[in-house]
Amino acid sequence: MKKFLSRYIVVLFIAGLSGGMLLHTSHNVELAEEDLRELKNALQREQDEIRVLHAEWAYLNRPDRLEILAGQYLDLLPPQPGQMLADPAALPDPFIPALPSIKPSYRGGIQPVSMTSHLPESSVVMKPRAKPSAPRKSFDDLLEKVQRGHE
Amino acid sequence: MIFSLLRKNPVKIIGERSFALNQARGRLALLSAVFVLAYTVVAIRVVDLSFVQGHLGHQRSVSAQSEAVPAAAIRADIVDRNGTLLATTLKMASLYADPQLIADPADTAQGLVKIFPDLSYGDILQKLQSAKRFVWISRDVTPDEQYAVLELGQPGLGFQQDSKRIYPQGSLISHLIGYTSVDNQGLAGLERSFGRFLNDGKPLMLTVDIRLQHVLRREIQKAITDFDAMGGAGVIVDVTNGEVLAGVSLPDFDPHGAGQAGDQNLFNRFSLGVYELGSVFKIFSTAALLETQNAPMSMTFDAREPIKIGRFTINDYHAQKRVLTVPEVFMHSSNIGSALMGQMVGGENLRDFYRDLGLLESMEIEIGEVGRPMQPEPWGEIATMTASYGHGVATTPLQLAVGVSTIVNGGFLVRPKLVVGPDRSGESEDEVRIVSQKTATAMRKLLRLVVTDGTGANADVPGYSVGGKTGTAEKVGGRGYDTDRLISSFVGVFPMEAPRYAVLVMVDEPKGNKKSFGYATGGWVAAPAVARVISSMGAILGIPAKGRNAEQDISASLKKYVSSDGG
Repeated sequence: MKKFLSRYIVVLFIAGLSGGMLLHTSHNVELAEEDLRELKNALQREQDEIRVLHAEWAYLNRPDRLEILAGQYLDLLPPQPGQMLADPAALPDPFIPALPSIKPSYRGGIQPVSMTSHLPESSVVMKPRAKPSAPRKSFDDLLEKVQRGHE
Repeated sequence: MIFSLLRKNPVKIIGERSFALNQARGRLALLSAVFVLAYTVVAIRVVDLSFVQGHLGHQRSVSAQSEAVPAAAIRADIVDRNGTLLATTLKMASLYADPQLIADPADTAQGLVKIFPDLSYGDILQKLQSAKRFVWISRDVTPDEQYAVLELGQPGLGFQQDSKRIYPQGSLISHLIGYTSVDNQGLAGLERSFGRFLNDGKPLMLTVDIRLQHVLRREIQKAITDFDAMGGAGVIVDVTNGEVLAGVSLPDFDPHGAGQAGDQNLFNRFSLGVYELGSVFKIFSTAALLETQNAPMSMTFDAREPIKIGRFTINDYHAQKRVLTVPEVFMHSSNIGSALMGQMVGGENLRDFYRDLGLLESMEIEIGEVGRPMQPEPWGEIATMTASYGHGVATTPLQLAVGVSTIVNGGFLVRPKLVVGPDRSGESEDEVRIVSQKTATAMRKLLRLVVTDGTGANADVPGYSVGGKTGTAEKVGGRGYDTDRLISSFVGVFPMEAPRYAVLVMVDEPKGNKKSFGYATGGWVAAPAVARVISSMGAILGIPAKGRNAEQDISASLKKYVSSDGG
């Protein structure tokens, strides 16, 4: 009798345990499905937004618009055929050598070498970057300004 | 109770019926345990629902709803050869109202006017007070506006999501891409011919380079403005593989509002319109002469007198009034000389040659707007003579550019294409040879000569070795040809030593101006436009210029056939 009852209890316990585990698992599945739905939705939203941004990017980069903006804001002209080089190696070295060779007959004698003293006047001078505390120009402001200029 | 039943040493039941009683007690214990377990499960579930999932509850109903609407396959993008977006589909929300659900129309209308400044208060109020169950308030609202409308918290306002075709490049490439109806059905161009393909969500990549398209369109537009013309068309083809790098037809239209565009704007002059393009056809008749008759460059043609045949007189526009060699006929664009060439080739041969080049049949290209060329019927002797200088044969500008490509690329038939396919440059077995390498080389020299010494001088771009041929044709008017209504064209090819690109510009009904000394011919209208296009192309594609003096020029070997006194 006693043996009979304890067997029942064991079976009951296992049934209860497996029921509980089933409940737990199905609950987890539900939660995971929830997450999945959320992620899919987020993904869809993100993809839609990317599509919009792509379209906007293409719209803002229309060749005719870029041409107008380049004409307004750049002191550059379209390159002429004669300016196209077949061999990139034919270009002069953009960097001034740190130690320029100085002929012995150079009348001033050997001078202390400094990078900047040998730079030709027209070369680009690096502008210092703005301090982190300085107000940053937001891209939106810039865009607005460009568009206002465009109109 | 249950615990007492399950105790280690429960009260012993002794007696006759002890077994039955014990069994009953066991069953009772079992039943109780089942109930306890069941209630425990319910309790756990209650805790789970109220605490664990409680905060998710609201979101869940929303997302379940959004999942109920399956994401339909959206019409795919069209991009150019560099991946620049030409056509895309965006989800747009449109705002509608159910007036029956709006309690305070005046208040709602006020709120809406604040969000949409371009809507009028009275208009909305009228809509919101109507007895209908559905009125549109605003189409294609932006996400910001949508958010603001939701902030109003009006149950009577709702959004309908639908997809809309967007063309970021506007009218730049409208005739090739085409346009769609409101329900995204392609109605013209590639949108129509690849409608099902695009609806399956497969993107399309074109051979067109949007930068070259812009350059070509800009220069044709400039020619149209400068010469007060009716319209124009142009093509840039890669002569080595037939890829169309740009195709322009002006005037064009905004594909977002194609329904409002006029017929003139919607008409595709690039591949649908057929025109008698005039002297540019001398490229083909001269090639036919060189190919079929094996004619030497020194062969002469008497261009002293106009040819009278039947009631027809063939005159020279740039009259030299002397005996001309082959290069002279070509560079001075002598109609008389070309007519004599055509006569020499023979009607049958010339016609077959044109047909082989694909000039007499509708061209195969990926868009549906393809014009059917016209040819003289029957093709008699007069037809042969006029066809040699491009009269009586009408083709599309695309066809002409492709025909020229076939001649200059070394003689292999060029098949134009708009959509990037698998690279087939390595497979040569299906290439069809139309003219020999020898003829192709001779034609390159002749085309270069037109620019260095002939009618196409305005097309020269120093360093790029441009060759080409002018064409000026009179349009067919009420009775015969109309001398005031011209079609001026120029087809340029460069670099002439190893041709890569063919550029065609055609201007419809240009009028001469002061800068062109009153001329409205191909050499004055279209040739400068081609020169500007080629100059810009060089910069965009990074083509290095090569300095050559006159002796190194490819046309130098022909100079000995050109008499120096003729101008």
